[in-house]
Amino acid sequence: MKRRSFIKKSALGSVGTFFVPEFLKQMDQIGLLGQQSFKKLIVIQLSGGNDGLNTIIPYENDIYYNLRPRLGIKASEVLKLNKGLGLNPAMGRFNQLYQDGYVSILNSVGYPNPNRSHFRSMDIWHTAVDSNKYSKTGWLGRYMDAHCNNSHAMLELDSQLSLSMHGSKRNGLALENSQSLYKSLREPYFKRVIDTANSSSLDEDNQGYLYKTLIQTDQSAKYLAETHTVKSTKIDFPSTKLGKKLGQVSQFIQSDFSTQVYYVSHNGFDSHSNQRKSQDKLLQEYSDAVFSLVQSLRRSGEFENTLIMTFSEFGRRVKENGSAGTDHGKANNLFLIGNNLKQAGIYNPAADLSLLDNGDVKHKIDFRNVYWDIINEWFGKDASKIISKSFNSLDIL
Amino acid sequence: MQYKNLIHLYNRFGFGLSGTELRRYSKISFEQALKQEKVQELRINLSELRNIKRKDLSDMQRKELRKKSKEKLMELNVEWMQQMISSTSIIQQKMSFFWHHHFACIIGNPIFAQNFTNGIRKHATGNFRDLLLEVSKSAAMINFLNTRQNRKRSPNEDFARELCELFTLGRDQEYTENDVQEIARCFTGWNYKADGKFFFNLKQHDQGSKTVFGKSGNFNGEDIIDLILEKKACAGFICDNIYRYFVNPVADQRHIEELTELFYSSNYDIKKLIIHIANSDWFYAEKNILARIKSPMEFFVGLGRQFKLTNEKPKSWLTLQRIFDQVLYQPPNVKGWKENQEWIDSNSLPLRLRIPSIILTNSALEINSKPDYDSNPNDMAGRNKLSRKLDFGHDWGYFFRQNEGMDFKQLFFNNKISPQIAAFLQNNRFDSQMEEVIQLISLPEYQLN
Repeated sequence: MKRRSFIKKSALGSVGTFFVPEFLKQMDQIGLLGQQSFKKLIVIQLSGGNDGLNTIIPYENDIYYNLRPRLGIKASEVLKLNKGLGLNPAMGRFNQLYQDGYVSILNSVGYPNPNRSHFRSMDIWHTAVDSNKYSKTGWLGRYMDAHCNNSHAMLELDSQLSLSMHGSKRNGLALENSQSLYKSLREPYFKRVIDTANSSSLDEDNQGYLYKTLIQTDQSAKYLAETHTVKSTKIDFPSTKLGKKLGQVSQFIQSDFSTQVYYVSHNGFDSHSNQRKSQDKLLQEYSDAVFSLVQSLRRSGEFENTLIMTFSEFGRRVKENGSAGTDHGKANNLFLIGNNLKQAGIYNPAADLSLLDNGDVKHKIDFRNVYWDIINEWFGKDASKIISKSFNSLDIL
Repeated sequence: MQYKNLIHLYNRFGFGLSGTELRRYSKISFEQALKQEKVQELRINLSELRNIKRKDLSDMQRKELRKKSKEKLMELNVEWMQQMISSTSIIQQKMSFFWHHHFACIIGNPIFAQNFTNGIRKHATGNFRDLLLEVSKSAAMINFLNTRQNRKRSPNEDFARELCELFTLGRDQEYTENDVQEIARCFTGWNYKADGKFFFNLKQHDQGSKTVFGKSGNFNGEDIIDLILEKKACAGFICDNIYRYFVNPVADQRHIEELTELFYSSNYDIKKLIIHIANSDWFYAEKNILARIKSPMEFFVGLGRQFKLTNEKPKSWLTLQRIFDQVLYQPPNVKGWKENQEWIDSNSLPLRLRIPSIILTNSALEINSKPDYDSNPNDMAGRNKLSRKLDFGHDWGYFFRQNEGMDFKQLFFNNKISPQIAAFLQNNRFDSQMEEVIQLISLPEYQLN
């Protein structure tokens, strides 16, 4: 046999019934289809550790300029907000959202006993457990376990799924675009395997688990591929990677996807050297893409129902390093963007740079408090089942 | 022993068998097989990295050194994988891999990594005390769990905590927070020299009296290891781990207790323990057959052994390890890699099912990996440059020679398939034997062992 013939055959083969009626019935039972408006969350993760101090700049603070002789952004450049804080000059579009009252900026968000490894700290944000504990499920995954009954309730626009959306009963779905996953399972051979398993009774053992996962994936992939073909967004999104991803999210939402959480990463924030240029570029990409997203959500009437959260695994050292960059730090800013925030603007005072923790910003707000509020107040579910620590409301949502 | 049991045995204490191996192993007992095995060394040329005084280097030279170091670590990683694929000492190889998972340790220094691996291999089927001591004294572990920073005046509890929680007793089993603090004091002064050799720094050692598990004395680290091993809970914890890994992810307390008694009374003899498992009727019970989901490494190595896969493009194995989240020397954290069902989600499963056909038909797999800033600082990765094609050498001739006359369904999944899938296969027409083989190993059942 020629080496490629299996693949060729698979790709060209026409055997097998493509659409099983049973599938549609199941989709209907899975529910959420046709449900009118429900709350959605879009998480934008700034990966690599965004330098919060050059994002939200304390332009009246001498300590900031003393510790950052090369990297400090001049007061004259800063887009001034209030309380002595201003935005990175690359964030003009974001500033418009802020001025419209859609943004709440939380300062000094972090967690006790912070970890400076990207991997570990990201894990802590994803799992929402104490920094000396480990968990194999993420906060959104546990939410899914309790409240969702299909994989596409949470979508990550990526090729691999983040830990935050791993649950013990089910996981979110990662896809780079809605067609790719669909295609990969549409090889006639897999299609036939799935059909065969569909009609068989599946056991609780691992064999059953594998087939169940396969069927779930197939259903979700199919759902996504078939649902979103209709509406395209009328707003132009930037042609950056992030712009395209958020454009796709907007399209999914407009196509009445039953997805509740969309997860998007914006990569490249690990600025150990020559930070200014790279960070400004990334922040501009962020600002432009989020602006388009909000415009598009407003136009489709979905902004009311959509909350956007932006975070990074840690902030960076206050003092710049020897190569015009910054090293890993601790607490950082977090942004919430929405239509009816109770407290838009600067939520809490900027970090006190005279009281640092080994050169780093100390945390004042535990990030889990934000998750707590999102679950309790935004989704209206019981957060105590999902977050192990309890909190008082921040009174933003 | 029947083929069915043999396949099960060496799925667990190996990476699966070929027809030729089946015939060979059917003539000897597990104990004899173990006796015939050798402790293999893992050794690559690391001379360029030795005897270097970092402080004499310029910034440029340091950068160069870091680069070299990273390359060597990858070389070592691939060498280990290739050894697992070609080795005849499969029990040793499997046990060593298991211990790397148990003593999860992130290692960046290739010299430390090589020593760590050889240390584990030396004791993989020996005595658990020797193994534990070897690991605790390794530069890799001392470095990873900050034992170096554990000094008389400022104890660091990292190692003490993980020693109890993850390596020996289990979370909150027969030790307290106070014990952790006191144990940390006992390990003060444990350090290593530039060449990675263990070094006890008496000046940093706290020589005061400590109270651990209710006993007081001027204990040092080795004393603590003995105090821990005196507890039957330690034997229980290890046997529980071994049972879930080698027998069934769902624990059976009766069998774990039986193993615990034996392990404890044999003074932690690993060899006796695994021979006992291999000789127990319950090990071969139907519920244990094909009950585990293979870790990515077991999946790759198993496939590699059957088809004599070789790494044509130097990084193909590494790419696969990264995509599936199991990179040697880089467990996600001290808790080790995922296990069993945790490996499977709607993204990894379709990908896993496609890997055998992609490799064996020389097709392309293009996938973007997430950026890894910890190992690649300053990698402005938004570019997702990890999109790669895989390139493996494979040998169909070898596969068919090894497995002549074999029933492939038995070979790949011990004939344990649902009636529906069996009927499906029955009705399926294959153009060739190769096609049959590829379709069989593309079934979800092939992900089990």
